Amino acid sequence: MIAGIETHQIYAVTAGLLFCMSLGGLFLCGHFFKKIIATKILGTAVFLLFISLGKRNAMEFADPVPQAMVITGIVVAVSAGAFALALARRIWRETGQSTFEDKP
Amino acid sequence: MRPVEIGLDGLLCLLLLVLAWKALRAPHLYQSAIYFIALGLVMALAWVRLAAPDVALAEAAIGTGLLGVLLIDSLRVFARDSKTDPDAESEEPPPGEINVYPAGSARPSGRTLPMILVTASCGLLAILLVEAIIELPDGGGLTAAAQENLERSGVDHPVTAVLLNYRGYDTWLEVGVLLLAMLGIFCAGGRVGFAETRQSNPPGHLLSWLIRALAPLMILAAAYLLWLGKLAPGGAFQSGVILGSAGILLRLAGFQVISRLPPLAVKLGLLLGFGVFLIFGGAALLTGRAFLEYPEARAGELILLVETAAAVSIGFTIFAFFAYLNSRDQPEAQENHAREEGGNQKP
Repeated sequence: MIAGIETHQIYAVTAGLLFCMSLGGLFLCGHFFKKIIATKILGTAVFLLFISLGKRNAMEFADPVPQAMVITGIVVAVSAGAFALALARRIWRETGQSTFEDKP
Repeated sequence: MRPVEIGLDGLLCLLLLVLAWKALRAPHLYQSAIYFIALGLVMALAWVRLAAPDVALAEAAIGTGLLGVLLIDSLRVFARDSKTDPDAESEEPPPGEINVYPAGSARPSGRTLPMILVTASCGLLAILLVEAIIELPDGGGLTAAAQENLERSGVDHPVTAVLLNYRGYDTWLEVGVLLLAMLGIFCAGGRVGFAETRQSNPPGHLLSWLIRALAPLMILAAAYLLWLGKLAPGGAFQSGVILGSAGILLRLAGFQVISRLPPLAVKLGLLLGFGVFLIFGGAALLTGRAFLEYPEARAGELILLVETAAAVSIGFTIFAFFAYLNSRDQPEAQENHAREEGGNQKP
């Protein structure tokens, strides 16, 4: 049973769990900062699934197309994260608010 | 697969899950940021286990390194303003104790039901996802196609071939997204252009000396990685990030990086990658080929040229992310900005 498990299967299942965990975190965390971190983990989980599926049919090398797309994706995700941080900082500076909830 | 390998992978995956949980549930934002950085580093190990060293390099350098710096820098702002801003003090605890639930130390009781609902649906989704992942059929993929055309692509490393030859569009638009994000950050900051300000506390001699010694080596390493991308893991992104982090280190040590250069050179540096791609793609169209299609005989040289331009641009943009966000919220920065903006920056 255990000998039949492949590396990519372990990581693919982990990616699924990470995705759901960070999705819950995205809804439940209040602070912008945590929402940004949750979004980043969400993206990373998708990348992890993509790469581990690309390893299923590795020949001389693992499938390079998912790798290239994930590298592109990481850079785009970081740009979006940096922009989100800039927005959160602006909101904080202008209104003193760090969540979407109304002030009590 | 040997049991040792399964054990190693299982341990790494467990670590990933625990670190993600901790990053999302830590009571203080600072802990969250540190757990997130640790998660990124473990993730880089996972990429290596999945035979994707290029992704590991990108994750460690950009996903964790750069974003980690930006996160901690933002934390400084969230913490400082809660001290100085009398309005915010009432609802935010002092720095280092920024709670997840700012309105009070305890979770509001009205949020129990949504919490149960979200947890239940995420759990259900997790079961379905894992089920679907296990039952995915094997096969498909583009490994064979990539391998077949590798000789004609002008490079020897399949990932670089995909990034710059087969799917040049992706890379071009990605450099565009970086540019767009930078413009967005400028807009969100409410100011055009970015000026550097002197750090309030000058660094010690040791740090200053160390960074002086490191910066040329980092530029050398960036050039090496760029060249290496032709035949091994490496390439424009990794190289660009090293350039950018050299700039960030120099800035943290109090050296003026951007303001030493004429504003035109900075703008050119930011636009170089996107522009070279565009000019090159246009030239390809004019000579009757498809957009971004390389002539087979010169593909190697042209890819190196485009990659160099992209790396310089990525380095500049990444540095600009940090320099802008960092200088925007320095308490003494405001007057300097006003002066320098009036002096040498066009509004």
